[in-house]
Amino acid sequence: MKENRRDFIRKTGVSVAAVSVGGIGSAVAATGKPVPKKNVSGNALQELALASKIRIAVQSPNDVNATQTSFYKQMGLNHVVLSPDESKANADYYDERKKYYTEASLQVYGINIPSLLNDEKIILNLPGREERIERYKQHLRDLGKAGITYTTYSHSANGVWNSANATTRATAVAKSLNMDGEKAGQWGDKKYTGPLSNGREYTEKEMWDNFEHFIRAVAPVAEENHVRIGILPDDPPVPKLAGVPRLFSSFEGYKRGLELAKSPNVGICLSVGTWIEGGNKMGKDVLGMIDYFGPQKKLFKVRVSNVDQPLPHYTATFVDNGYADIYKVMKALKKINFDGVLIAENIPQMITAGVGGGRNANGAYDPGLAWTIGYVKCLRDRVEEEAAIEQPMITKKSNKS
Amino acid sequence: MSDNRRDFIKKSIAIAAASAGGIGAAIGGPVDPELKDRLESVLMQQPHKKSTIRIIMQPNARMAASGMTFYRQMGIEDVTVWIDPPNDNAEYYIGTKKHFAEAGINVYCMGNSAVHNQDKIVLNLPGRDEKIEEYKKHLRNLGKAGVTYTTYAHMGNGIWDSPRETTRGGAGARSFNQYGPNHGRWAKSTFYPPLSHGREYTEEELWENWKYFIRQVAPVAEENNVRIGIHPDDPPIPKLAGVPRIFSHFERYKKALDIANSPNVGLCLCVGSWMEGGDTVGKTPVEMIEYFGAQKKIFKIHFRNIEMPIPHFIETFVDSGYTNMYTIMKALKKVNFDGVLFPDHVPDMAGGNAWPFSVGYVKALRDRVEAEALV
Repeated sequence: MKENRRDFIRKTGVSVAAVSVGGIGSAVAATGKPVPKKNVSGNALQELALASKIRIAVQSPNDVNATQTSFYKQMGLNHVVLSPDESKANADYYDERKKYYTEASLQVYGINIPSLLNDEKIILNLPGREERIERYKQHLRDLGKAGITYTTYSHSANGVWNSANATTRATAVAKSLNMDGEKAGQWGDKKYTGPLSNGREYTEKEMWDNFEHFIRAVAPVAEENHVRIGILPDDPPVPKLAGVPRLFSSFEGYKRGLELAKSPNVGICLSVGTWIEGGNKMGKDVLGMIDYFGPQKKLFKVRVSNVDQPLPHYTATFVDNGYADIYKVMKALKKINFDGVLIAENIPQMITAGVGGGRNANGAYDPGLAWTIGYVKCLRDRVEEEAAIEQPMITKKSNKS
Repeated sequence: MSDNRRDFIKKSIAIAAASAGGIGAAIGGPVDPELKDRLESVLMQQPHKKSTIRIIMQPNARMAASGMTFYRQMGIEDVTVWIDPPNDNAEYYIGTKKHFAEAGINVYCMGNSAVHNQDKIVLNLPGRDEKIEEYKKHLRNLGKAGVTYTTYAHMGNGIWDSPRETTRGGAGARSFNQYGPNHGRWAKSTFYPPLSHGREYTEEELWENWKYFIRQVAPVAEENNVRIGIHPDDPPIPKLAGVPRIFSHFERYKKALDIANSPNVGLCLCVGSWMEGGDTVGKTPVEMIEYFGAQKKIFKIHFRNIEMPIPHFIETFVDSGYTNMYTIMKALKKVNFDGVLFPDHVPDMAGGNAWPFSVGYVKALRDRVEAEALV
């Protein structure tokens, strides 16, 4: 009944708006009518948000329940990404999850296997590499069978490096890294420390050879199965860490990596938070990356977070509180017609006493997630409305191909 | 440390304005000299002075320290609190102000449920003068505590609801159906149609009672440096259950403020209530802001959205109603609104509450209109 009501409002909202003269209404692009150069009505804004190709998603936990899926829907979200344990990950499981979320009116945009997406055997050519590559191919086939079209890959052999957590606004605890202080890498249960995290110095050439070996093996399987692979930046994006080069730590690195892959199905999972850690050492900043790779349809997913300042010592912070203007990121995404998902990550831990919910419970009701999604969704809604106002003549689907 | 840096970044705006190159500089982005060689300025966050549009929450008067930390983590530094009898004494007001100040939170507003929406005052019932004396005491207590604002509502039979309905994602939300079962409520009293107070009251009587009340309390408000913001009748229907509702139309607000004739009497503009009225209330929320905001008569904003206007409305999430809330925020910035904004009446949210979502969304709207004002 509720949904009927909503549909009704949408229909009436739009048609009423088209003829209204007052403060309430104006037309929406989706109607095919010109949009006046003034703000749209609330109903029209909902239309724009629903039609937005910048889809905000939640990293949903494996043991999700109806309360959590309601939470996502109530925030106005329609997409999730999943990260199951490798032992569970197979076509049947993907299919079952997809059905589960579909029933909750949520679409599974992508599935990652954390233990497989950043595997040192693949990255450093260690014994067992071929088996792991085969496992990755199987993952791609399983995704294909379930009709899930996206997965993330990372080529950071010694994981994500952090120092002890630090505090940001009002003592919220946040991820932090001081390159000149104590720090360690981690991926899953594995920890990495310097000076040589993996026993010896690796050369950049070896790393590229290993990437090429991997990506040439999996890209055709990704294409056959209609799965796109987004490569994450190395976190932190420094050229070498503890003896291991980090290839995806600059614009040039991405350019070379994607050229080697030579596949429409291999692109980028752009972590804004990681990229801005690099400051001006990245060849192109986040906006430059979006402007360059966006039009090439190489941006598949964006992860949003903020940091107080670039390396050598940064602390993650709330999206509104760092040095990067996330609005500008959103604006750039709209400009290149980004049509993937966007998730929020590295949210500082908010105090939850008396507020309800868990602490950064990874997709469960969590005030930090709700606050961040609210903020980011507003920025998304703003750039959609601005585009509708700036391009008033966007009309029905063109007949041109 | 991070706060120092932030101040530093803010101070360096002037430097950025003079710096050559990046787009960030061109649109007023900051370049901290210390960071400058590590950044491409294009990305820099727009700095803005502390906004005069302050987002608030409404906690319990003795909220735990952790709750205040949570507010500050969301970027909130002001609150409004209700005080209920028997705590309505000066010491408690002063203690409340201090309780929050110690955690870096400013108490912008205090209400007293015993002197708000009082049928004795609104309908001239026995005990009216005692209630008005109580109101004056409330104002003096605020003065003593250094709290400079309070909200008042003049509803004879309270705020009206129908049974809760659902909005986006099945979230439970307040609703009102003029033609369905409904009732009014304030504090512990409930009011039912057809006649909540035994007879039909005339609008004239309501105006007389308003004048009798406000002319007495306005001078006390002025003496104590307290501003009173009048909340719209919710819903803003001209008459309910025999009782006229005078804060239900632009013209009636105008008349009421003329009667008050005091710089200390203005509006607590609840845009949610106002939207409930649709085209029956004389002006849209944006037009209300343009008119009364320009006169510096708006002291507080209640910021929420609804699916559609009366006769049957359901409250919803800020981004999900018939009003584009950006237009409201933009209008507030345009009139240089210098007060607080409360994202009130959020729907239920599964597993928790919807305030963090709403505050995040609203803060982004606020940050955007501030950034746009810099360009």
